[in-house]
Amino acid sequence: MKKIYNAVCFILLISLLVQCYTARSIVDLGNKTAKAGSSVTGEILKCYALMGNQAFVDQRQQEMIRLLSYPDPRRVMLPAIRVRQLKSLPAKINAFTSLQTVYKSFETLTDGTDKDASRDAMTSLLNSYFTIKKLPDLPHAAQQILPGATSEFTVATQANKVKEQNEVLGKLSAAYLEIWKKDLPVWKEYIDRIYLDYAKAVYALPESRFDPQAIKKLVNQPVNTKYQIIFYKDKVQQDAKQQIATINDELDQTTYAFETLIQSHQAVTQRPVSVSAVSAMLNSINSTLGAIKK
Amino acid sequence: MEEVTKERLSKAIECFDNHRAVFIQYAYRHGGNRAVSSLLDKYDALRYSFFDLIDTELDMTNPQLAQLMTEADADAVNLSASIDNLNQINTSIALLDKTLNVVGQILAIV
Repeated sequence: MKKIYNAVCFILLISLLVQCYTARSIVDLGNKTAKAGSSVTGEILKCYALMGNQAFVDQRQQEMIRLLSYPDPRRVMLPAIRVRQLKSLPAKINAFTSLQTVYKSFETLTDGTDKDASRDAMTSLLNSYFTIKKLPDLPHAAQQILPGATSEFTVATQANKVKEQNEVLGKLSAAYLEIWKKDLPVWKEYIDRIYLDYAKAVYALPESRFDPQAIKKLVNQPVNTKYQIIFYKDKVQQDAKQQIATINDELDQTTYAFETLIQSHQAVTQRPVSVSAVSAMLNSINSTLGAIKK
Repeated sequence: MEEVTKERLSKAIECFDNHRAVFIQYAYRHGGNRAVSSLLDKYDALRYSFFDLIDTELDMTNPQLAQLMTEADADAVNLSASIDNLNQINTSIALLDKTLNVVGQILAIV
């Protein structure tokens, strides 16, 4: 009889340990997902900064072209062109910064090191929620995804409520993804114009604008100057296309990481949670972001 | 419809890029550096208006906006054709002015 009692106790103990281990694993997953969110939003903010920098690239390129276009360059006053940023950028940067703050606060909340973490998570969630809602051109799809009531936030900001946390983070990020996806075609068109307008303008410049000696160093072809200039102009076009491809690739990779992040939130809300599936998604996010940084 | 109009404006800018040298020579012959400046200012204005336009949410249910977009669409097509034709640069510059004016009106009401 005592043996049976011991065996039952042992099984109960094992079962309890397994449950504790699983619960701990899920909390860890919540923490890792929040960390992935911080990294993805960091990359998104880098892309917004990259778009902001393009205005300076454009200004420099167009100014150079303007100078070289004048038949009589002595009359050109520099700077002839001012920097023109895309107007919607500052509000979007502000919104995505608030989303990154949410992820950072959830990182702290899920690692259990800060007793004020729950309050900070609630503050950041509310801030990000109202920031996105106030955006002037919020896509309709984003409005529909956003949690209807902030009451969901109360449960989600409790340290061990991993499922609820990921439900809220998933919805909030999905709404932000709609903004990102709406911006992508605008940016691609913008980048095309910036680099192609420059390359085409270089192509249209008369031969007299080029220094044969300098061209010779840039174009390693055994042909006369006239043809070297053509090769150089072609090189400028190829470089422009390469630049566009590099930027587009960064935008596409970031989109993939963002979409995978949202999938990982959804996977954490499933019961039972597939720890291996979520881990694979998080690894995929990390390797994608790592490849962009290279 | 708005996407097509934006594409056509983009095409008009590209047409000017392709024939930039001819336009500048023409402007210089007919008005010196001042005319070149004026032409390049118009080109820059068209590019920046285009950037503003693609970066702006357009409410196409607004009848005034829809009407202006239709005008901008026709102007962009005419401008591209005129630039590619290269026969009447004066006409192209007038069309550039007209297109700029319509896009300016669009941006003023959004």
